[in-house]
Amino acid sequence: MVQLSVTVEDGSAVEEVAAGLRARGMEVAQVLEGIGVITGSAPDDVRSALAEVEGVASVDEQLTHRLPPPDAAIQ
Amino acid sequence: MIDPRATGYPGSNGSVVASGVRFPETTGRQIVVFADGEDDTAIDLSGAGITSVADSRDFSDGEVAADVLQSADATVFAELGIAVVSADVAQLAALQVGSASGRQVLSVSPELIHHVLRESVLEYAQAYRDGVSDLADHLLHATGHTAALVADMPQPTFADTAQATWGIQAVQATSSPRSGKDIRVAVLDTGFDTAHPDFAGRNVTTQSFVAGEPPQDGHGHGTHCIGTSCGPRTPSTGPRYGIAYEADIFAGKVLSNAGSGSDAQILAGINWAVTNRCPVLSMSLGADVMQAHPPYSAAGARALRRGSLIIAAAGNNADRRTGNVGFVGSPANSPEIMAVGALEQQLGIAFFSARSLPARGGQVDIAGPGFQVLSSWPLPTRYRTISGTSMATPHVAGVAALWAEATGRRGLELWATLCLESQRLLQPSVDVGSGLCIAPQ
Repeated sequence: MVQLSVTVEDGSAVEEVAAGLRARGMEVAQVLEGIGVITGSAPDDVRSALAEVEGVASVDEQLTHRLPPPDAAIQ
Repeated sequence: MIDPRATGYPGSNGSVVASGVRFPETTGRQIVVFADGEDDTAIDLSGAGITSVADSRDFSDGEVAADVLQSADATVFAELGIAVVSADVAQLAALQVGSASGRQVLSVSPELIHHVLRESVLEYAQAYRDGVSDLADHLLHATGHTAALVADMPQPTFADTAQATWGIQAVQATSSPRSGKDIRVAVLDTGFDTAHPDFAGRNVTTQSFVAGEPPQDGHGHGTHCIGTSCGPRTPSTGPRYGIAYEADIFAGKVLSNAGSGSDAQILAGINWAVTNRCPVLSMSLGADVMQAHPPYSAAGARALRRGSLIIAAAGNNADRRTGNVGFVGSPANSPEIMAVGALEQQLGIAFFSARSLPARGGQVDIAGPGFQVLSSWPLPTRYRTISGTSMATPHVAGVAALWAEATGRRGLELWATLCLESQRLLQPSVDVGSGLCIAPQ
């Protein structure tokens, strides 16, 4: 399983794209209407099929952002 | 290239020695700038006794014929609200008090003559060589008098005072008449210590996007950044450390108390802030990834279109002490997310501040104070001094809130305002973008 961020194309209906992703095997966690991005997870072998869903601009593995510990001098 | 004809350097008693500057020539006519009037109110100069007037609206496409420009006593450029007039002293006086037409006059100034800057390549090369060798002589052989000349060159050095931190002084927040009133500033970070005494009475909205953790800040970073961007004008103790002291604070917890967050949490925070119409989003977070991440690029662009400017830290992955200039990571390296570099007290680039990537979007756009920055911290510690592009970012966000209040601008126009109003520095633009952000005065 890999955590994914799916970017919806300008002008596509976000909910419809989410439905298409679910149909191809993605477990949709968040449908972010305001910015046109859908997050969730999917098995590795399903990932390429997700990119073919109509209205998908990009399928990317989620990044992790990390801060230094609270007592670090540079944050 | 530096134009040596325009080189000026400080003289011995505060004068500026300028070489080769040509002083302006005038035509004898005056340029009158009128304030914006109701849509079609014509500029009528007959009240000042000027009657031979060509109005651009009488010409197709507003093209006033060249011979008319020469011969009329006045030409009115209706679209610009500007008139060129031949006027005597009495007529000028009438114009200046606005008795010309009931349209208020903003300024009257002499019509200047402009010249093509033209010279041969050889002349330019000679002037450039002479200018550079002159300056080099001063710097390389500085003794006595010339050493004093060099010493006179202003070297900014800011320091914390009892009244305000060095960063608050540097961005000129102390002299700004603006407070960020009614401007929503979203800080997407580790949350906020809502019990901090310096924020009593403020409009604060909190939301956690970290499963299993409340919005309360268990790390400190978020409280520090909210302090810099939105801290009070008079804290309970110590110097002023915050910029938009009347802004509405939207504290989105997108990083856990351990300091980490995934795309899902951060994107959810952005979505929340945009949906809540926050003109400014401050994101002091990043991943050391060179490629612009498509969901952040889309979020940045869509946020801008909806009136929200996302401001993010360029990154701390440089160590310029060893020659490593680092690179701008994600999300700051998305084209439509503003990337902020960190300055130290002499307005040089901080040693850890990341340099622009050559790829589109990877530019550092602007800079803010980011070294030894005092700000709020969760209780009982209350205050802390730390460094980072994380600290520079909320300086820019706070200043953005003041500009949003002052101008009503949002999105891309607010971005442009921050850049055009920033103080240009001698540092390379790959490190500082358009320079140090400056608050409206």
